[in-house]
Amino acid sequence: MALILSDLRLDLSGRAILDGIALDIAPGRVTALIGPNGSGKSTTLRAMAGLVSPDSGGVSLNGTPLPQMSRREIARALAFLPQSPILPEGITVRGLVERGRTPHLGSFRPMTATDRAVVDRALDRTGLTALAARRAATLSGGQRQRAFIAMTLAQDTPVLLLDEPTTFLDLPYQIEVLRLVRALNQDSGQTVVMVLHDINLACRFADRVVGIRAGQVLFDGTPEEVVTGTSLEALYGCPLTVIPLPDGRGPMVLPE
Amino acid sequence: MSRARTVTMALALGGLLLAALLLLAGGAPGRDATGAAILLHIRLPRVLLAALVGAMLGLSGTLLQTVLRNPLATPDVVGFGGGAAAAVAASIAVTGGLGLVLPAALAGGLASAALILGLAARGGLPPQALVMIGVAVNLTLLALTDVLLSLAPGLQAGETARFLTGSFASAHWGAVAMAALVVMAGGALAGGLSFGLARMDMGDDMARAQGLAPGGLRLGAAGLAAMLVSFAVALTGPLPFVALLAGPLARALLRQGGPVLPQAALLGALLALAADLAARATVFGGSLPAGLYTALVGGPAMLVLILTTRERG
Repeated sequence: MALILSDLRLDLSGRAILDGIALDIAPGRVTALIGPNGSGKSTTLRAMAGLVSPDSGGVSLNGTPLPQMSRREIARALAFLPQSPILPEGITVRGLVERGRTPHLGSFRPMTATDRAVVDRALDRTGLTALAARRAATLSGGQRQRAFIAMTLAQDTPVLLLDEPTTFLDLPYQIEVLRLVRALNQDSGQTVVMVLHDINLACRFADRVVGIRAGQVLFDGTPEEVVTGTSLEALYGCPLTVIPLPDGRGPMVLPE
Repeated sequence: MSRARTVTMALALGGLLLAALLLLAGGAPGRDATGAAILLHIRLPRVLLAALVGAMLGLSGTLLQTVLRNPLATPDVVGFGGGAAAAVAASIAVTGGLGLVLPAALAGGLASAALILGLAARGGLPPQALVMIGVAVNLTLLALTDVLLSLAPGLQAGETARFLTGSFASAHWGAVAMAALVVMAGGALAGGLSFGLARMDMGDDMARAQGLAPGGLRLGAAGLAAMLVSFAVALTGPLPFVALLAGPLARALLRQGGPVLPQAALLGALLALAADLAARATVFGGSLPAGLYTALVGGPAMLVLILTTRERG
């Protein structure tokens, strides 16, 4: 599924939030968007999900511009998880995951055996089968985020967009969530784009790292290629040291 | 599933029981022609009208609460009912009678809803903005109604005040037929919206990301709620708190969220019937209208609801 962003521009009350973002998202890969607060990385992700309409430029999916697709068509191609998703009151884990089937259902199209099988599989792949009947509010932070990811899996889309899926989670949970995302991508070839704050985790779990600053793409490539002291200083505006890890699995970033 | 069925059955049975009590209230009718006429032309339409208007209010309340994600956001609070009531007061002031109550209530309710929705339209009808604008418009409309009441000559003011405290006492078969049509049409339209409404509780972004149109759903549900409450005001005058209590009570009984349309409609009917039963009681040698009882019971009931849901977390 080819997801292409061409020259996205968006001004909000006179400030350029997106200032010519152009990106060609690698299909079947995990891409991490990094950058300082207010750089436009979340807005870029939301534009990919069709939640933000740019003033000019646009997002196309397999050659079709998003505005030419219905909301439902978009929702069958792209699953999106916002930064702090709201948990419906009293919902069970299974109930939450079933919400992912929304774009495939309707007033006259109730859940069928096929839908239930997709939900079962999403629960299974996220290791939540045993917790399916639990109230989602009683889960730990990591389990809850897994349940939200299971919901996006049940949406059964070729592309998954995650806005800071590790915010408010302790480190072990952050790793748990990112391992899950990586495993899902490797099992099914799902294209993943996520906004991440932690550069080290981004380097460890993403195939591609995109640096965004002031609404523009500063760099785009594999962690080894693009994550350097110079590039990060340009991105964040403060001196940072980048050390190559001995196991060759990505650079590590430390404050100077 | 079975809990929903049990609750629904219990509510329906409760409604039937209350209806039976109401038919017998004031003594069993005689077995002669007069008794039959009392039953057929006075008591039966009154019971049916109470149940149907209660159902309208229950539906309209739960629609707006769900779509605005706010248990306090009901048509009486955000100015839809206030518009209908103010327009009725104005029509009584102008015509000196109750002749134009129906068109006035409909026009007033829909006009205030259109005004509120129009003012809140920027950015796809954000729920917070809609509630706050609605409350402000409602307070303005209440003030206008008070002005009309103060300016009206004594007799007319009395008539307006009586109308503004809802009552089922003037029920007749024509009103029942209209109420039945409104409940059927409104219920069908609400049912059509319920798939999307039930999925609005994860926020607008999530709703859109799952292929829904939250702005459109809000407009549809708010318009429908305005219609329902305007008809209710037109038929019986305002019955405070029925729209507010029906949805939350239904959700508490079912232990689930969402629009819970059938149960909220049943609970609305139940509350209205209970209020009318209370209205038959003799108080200081007279009787008080149903709308006064819902107002009296509604406030404390709402407090209990808020406190208990807060305890549960």
